[in-house]
Amino acid sequence: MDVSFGGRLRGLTFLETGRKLLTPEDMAKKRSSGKGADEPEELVRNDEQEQELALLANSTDPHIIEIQRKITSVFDLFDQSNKRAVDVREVGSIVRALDLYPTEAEVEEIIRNVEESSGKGIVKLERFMPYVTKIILDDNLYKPIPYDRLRKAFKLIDKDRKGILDPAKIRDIFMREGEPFVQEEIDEMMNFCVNKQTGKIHWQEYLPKLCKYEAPADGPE
Amino acid sequence: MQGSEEQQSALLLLTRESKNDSLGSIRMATYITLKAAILIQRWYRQYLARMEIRRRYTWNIFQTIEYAGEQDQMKLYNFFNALLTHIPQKPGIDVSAKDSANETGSTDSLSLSSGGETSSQTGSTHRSSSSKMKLRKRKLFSGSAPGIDLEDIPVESDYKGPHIKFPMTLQNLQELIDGFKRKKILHVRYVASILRVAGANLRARPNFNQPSTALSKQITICGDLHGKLDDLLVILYKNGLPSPENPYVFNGDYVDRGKRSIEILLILLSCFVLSPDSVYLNRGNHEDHIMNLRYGFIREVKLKYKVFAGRILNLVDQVYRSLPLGSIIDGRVLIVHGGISEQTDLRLLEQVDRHKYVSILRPPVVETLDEEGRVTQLSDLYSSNHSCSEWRQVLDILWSDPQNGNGCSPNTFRGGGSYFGVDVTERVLHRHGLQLLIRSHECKPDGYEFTHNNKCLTVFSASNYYEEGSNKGAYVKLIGGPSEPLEPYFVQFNAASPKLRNMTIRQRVGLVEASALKELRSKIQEKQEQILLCFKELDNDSP
Repeated sequence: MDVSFGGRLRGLTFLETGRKLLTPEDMAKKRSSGKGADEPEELVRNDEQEQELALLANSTDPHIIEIQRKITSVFDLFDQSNKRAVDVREVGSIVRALDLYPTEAEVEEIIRNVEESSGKGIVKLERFMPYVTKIILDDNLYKPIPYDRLRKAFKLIDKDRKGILDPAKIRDIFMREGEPFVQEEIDEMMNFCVNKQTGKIHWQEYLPKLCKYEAPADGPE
Repeated sequence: MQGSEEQQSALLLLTRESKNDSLGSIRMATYITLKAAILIQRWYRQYLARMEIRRRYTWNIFQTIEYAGEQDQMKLYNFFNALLTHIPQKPGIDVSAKDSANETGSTDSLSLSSGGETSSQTGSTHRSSSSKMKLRKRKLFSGSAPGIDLEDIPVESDYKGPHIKFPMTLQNLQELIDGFKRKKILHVRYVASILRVAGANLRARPNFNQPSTALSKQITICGDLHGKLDDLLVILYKNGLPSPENPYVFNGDYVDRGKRSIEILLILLSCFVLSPDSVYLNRGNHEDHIMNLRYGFIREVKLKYKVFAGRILNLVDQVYRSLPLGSIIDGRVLIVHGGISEQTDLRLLEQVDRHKYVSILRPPVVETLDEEGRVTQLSDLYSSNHSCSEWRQVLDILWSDPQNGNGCSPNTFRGGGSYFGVDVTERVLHRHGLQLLIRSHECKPDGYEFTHNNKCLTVFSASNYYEEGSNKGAYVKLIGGPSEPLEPYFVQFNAASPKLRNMTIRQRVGLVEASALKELRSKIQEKQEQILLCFKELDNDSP
């Protein structure tokens, strides 16, 4: 006896996503399936590295202290109860918030280095801090993508050189190649990229707008 | 480095594309596309991370403002209670309130506020009230009262709302829901009847409901609703009305903040009256008169029911006291509103007389009955140690929050309850032979969140809680049976205007952010002088 609730509810929108919990396997799927993304380096921890990290942790260099202050403030955002620990799944967001541009594989590598060995999916600040400080200090690691390179990348995908892309093709590419997007990521991208009237992606128009991070939120229509 | 990785990728491509025997230029083109794709993905994920950070900062602002209010409440109470414990007097002294038949709303004695609901006012009463503490007698009536009984009030001829007959039928329930959808206000006589019947039925329940999935093979658990009727309607629409094949657990916080609190309460209580074995109601920290004073429920009832508000609220208080403290499904899954603490002892909690907790924020009361068994007086038992530790247990159940890491500490953010860590969850569950803790109490962007190695699940059913676009609501279905594993299945929803659906993350984040900043700005303006004073104190340079 299934008593259902007749009638449409006016003015209410409704979206059901019977979504399962994002397990470590799901996370691994986000990583490249060997289709050409960079293979992560095998990390060998040794005493020398440990010492280096310890030095960083105790540094009094004002530049380093400034970096550490930034790391702490972003870390704290994800640390609800001031336990100096965050969930391992947030590492990607934290690192990216510090102006770094790692690939998913590179994020995995960072996680491997900072996650607590107790295996409970926790990352503590005391390990996270020196490791990420080192990354930031290294000018070659995970640096921002210059605007021109980004534009070039779009040009390469846009074979016809029209400045316009077909959403179906984009969905196909980004969900199969490289480090594939999951459903939510691609849906959101489609949401803001696709021009409602033409149904196409006018990337040449959007790109300059999107790259003004500090601009107030108005977004492309 | 660059060279070798390109070669490596090219090699991979060659082996993969072995079928496609065409020109090396096609392979090269594919390879380039690949690199471009990776670059764009990398950039896009950065963009998403930025949005996430902005959203979190905004969240922080809202949550801090929200909890600061609750903290005030707690601190004030702790202050008053401490004061009371140090005044030498006999135990069982009357700490009571005026007869609320005449005064609608302000029934609390410790002169907390004369119905005032602004934070600035609370701040000032904090100091002045200590000298103005009045101890007055309170008459509590459970049914008969001076003047006409609410349930005897005749229905006017121009009343267009739903009519309820007792015993309630499914038809009544559907008419009730329909009426509420059309913004009707239920007649006070029906309100009184529903509250009375539900209160009586709830009283008979044990402290912990014991739902079972033996018949239905599944059960639905909903979190905070906070007066958001749209969200409840969406849930009932999508998931169906409660029935023996479709049982529900509602985990507290039905009222306050949203504008349709009384409607939600009435619908839930009606569902319970209609199907007592399919609807399990838990008490939340907002099922509490003191919280309602501050967070809008009292105001709503006064607005909708005017002179009758006081008596209706009295009946609501009776319902609150009768609400069970939690539910345990199949003896395996514990559902409480807030959480647990290291000391949580379910066996002790099962023995507690929950009806003496009129408000969780006050020490438990003791009722004095007259010859006919009617309550004539309420007095506080704050001097007894036993009742204090028991009180703390109840407080923990309704106010605690989980935290990352281990350990258990007082929840200073809220001002009451504890922060319980991963190990605490582990131990408490193990101690009682349980597998999972489901709780609510905290708003989550996705409507739900698994923590503590998937042993602690937060479920929050009020979408757009802080602001339009701030978060999704969710409910969880546990599917299985008493002797099978119970699989959680989540449904998220967003009871918001269509225009919101089509907004991008950036626009949504921007909207919520603007709202948070607006609230923060007004808070700062309120306290302008104090803030300036603080700055002056700390600023050593200027004269």
